[in-house]
Amino acid sequence: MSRRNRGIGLKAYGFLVYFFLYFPLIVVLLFSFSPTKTIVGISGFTLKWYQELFRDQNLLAAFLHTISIGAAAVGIAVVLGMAGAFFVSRVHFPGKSVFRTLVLLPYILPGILMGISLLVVIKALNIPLSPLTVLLGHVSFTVPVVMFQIMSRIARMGPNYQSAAMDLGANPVQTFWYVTLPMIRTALIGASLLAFTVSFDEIVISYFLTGTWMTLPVYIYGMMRYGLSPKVYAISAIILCLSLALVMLMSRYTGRSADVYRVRSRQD
Amino acid sequence: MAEENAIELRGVKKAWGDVVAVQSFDVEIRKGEFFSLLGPSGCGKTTTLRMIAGLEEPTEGQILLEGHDVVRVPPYRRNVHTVFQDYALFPHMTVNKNIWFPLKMRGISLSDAGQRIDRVLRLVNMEGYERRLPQQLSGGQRQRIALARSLVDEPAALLLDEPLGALDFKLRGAMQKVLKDIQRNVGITFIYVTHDQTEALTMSDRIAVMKSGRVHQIGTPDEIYSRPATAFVASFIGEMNFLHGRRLQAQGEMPQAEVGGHRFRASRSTITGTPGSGDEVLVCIRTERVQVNSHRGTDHEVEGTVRRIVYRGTDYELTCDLAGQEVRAVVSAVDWNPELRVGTQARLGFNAADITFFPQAEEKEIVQYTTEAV
Ligand SMILES: Nc1ncnc2c1ncn2[C@@H]1O[C@H](COP(=O)(O)OP(=O)(O)OP(=O)(O)O)[C@@H](O)[C@H]1O
Ligand SMILES: [Mg+2]
Repeated sequence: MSRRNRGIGLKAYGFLVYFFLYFPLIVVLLFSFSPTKTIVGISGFTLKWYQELFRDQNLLAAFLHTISIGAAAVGIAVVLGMAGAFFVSRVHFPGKSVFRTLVLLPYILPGILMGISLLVVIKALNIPLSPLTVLLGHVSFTVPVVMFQIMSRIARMGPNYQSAAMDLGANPVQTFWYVTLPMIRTALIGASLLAFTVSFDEIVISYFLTGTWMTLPVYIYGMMRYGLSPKVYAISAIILCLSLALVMLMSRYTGRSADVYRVRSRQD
Repeated sequence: MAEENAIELRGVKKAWGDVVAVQSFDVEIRKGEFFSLLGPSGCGKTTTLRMIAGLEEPTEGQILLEGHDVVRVPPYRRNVHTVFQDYALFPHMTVNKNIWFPLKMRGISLSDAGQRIDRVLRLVNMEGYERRLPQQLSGGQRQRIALARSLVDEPAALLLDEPLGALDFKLRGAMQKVLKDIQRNVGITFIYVTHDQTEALTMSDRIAVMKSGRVHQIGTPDEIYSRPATAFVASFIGEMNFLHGRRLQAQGEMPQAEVGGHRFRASRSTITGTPGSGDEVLVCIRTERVQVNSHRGTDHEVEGTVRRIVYRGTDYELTCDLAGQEVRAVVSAVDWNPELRVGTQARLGFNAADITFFPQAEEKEIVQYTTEAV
């Protein structure tokens, strides 16, 4: 009896947590299809906010900006993050363990701090604000994200596979191409997706480093100054779905390497 | 031209800062030889192997493969392969692709490699597993695939780092035979790392016994077993009694020492220089060479009190007290006399031919068989 009660309590508690987390999202999703402008009293179904959305040239431009900043930032992060991860795991230097633990710092630090710091440097160097400065801001936190993921994968993998490849006649380039890269592939994909997701809805740093060239979150933030337009609901709903898709894709790749191989092998 | 050696080490040393992993290693390993590196954990076996493979650069000395100094040659241009203790099979490649790997690196296509892959798979008795991934194989199977992968391009030598270490006792025994047969069939030089003395003794043509980076002895299993060069080798291989004795003035050819009032002659002594009378020595005899209540005549006979009897299946181990020192003797279960009990007197017989004297200074190097590193 009491055991069943405890079960019910736990279930109710769990439900409340999820309800609390997802209720606002569901509300936004619902209202994006609501014909009335007000929050209360939904009646009917409409796609007009979505249509309006696609007529808003500025918004579409901002969306494209976000996508291209994300893609560029991920591209740079993969190259720099991977190089950095290999450097840290292969080369011994003083303060290495401190560096290892601090690698994620630029990502964890409040965006406002990173934003202001970068702005100060950019201003001091007399660089005008442009898409490039926004990109710089995004690179500052996507590189640590990728680097951290690759570092943990390399640590789990151990150096023996590389030794074995070299021992069997593979030069360093072949070792990287045929052994190392395939073994970190899933981590690389997962890290890229994560970095892209983070970049996609980053606002604080972008806000500091952008001029008139706006990313989507910055643009939405601007829109909100004129009140909560249902258009904001619509764009939020789209972002929600995109993020969901990315997260689901990501969860396929960020598991432990052995698990990933086991999943693949069963499909063979 | 003289027959060149497969591998030659000349004064090889490896140190990381203050840590000396290997020092003054000199050896010539013949083609087709089964050569073992034997020693307790941390004695420098893996380091030696990695230097030969090119994965580690020696601090000093020369390494010659088939007559050529390879110290500056990277691992991928050395004609030797390593079988790692954890096998290091590439998890993203099937068995087939794993074995193809060394051939692929030489520009041989999978279809051209097919016959050679089939041949090594047959050699290790693993036909039909081509499409499996390494994680779908058992430990012993992985071990054989790792072996096949290292053999497929016919290297000059194979370096095996405790390849059976991860296998259970029965499987180990079976794999020892498989390995030895393969080595005989392909005729490739094997350098085999182990800390298991039985494995080394049964499989090897020659053994190098190491401790703390130093080579104590290089020799055939028989030489290592019956004529150990140092007290450490004597203690590491087999079961050995070490008794404290005092050097006596030799009467005749053989060196002599006194243990608990008894005089012992030894057929061998590694003590150099002119020994002073009364110097301390280690008197050493194998447990299975101590005769207990034997009718056969022995050179020395002493009485000892039985302190402990341990039944071990095929034999009994008897521990006796000899003037305050422990002497262990192994008696086969067939010859066992049930009248021997704890507290009774046993007649212990020793032959001079089985006794060796070592310098007292080597006592600190002895590893007791009870605490032997596993
Ligand atoms: N990269 C390294 N840096 C510093 N010291 C090392 C390094 N590699 C090995 N050593 C040291 O060198 C010594 C020999 O190590 P090695 O791995 O060769 O021993 P081993 O005989 O293979 O032992 P085991 O039977 O445990 O495998 C050890 O004391 C070890 O701590
Ligand atoms: Mg080792």
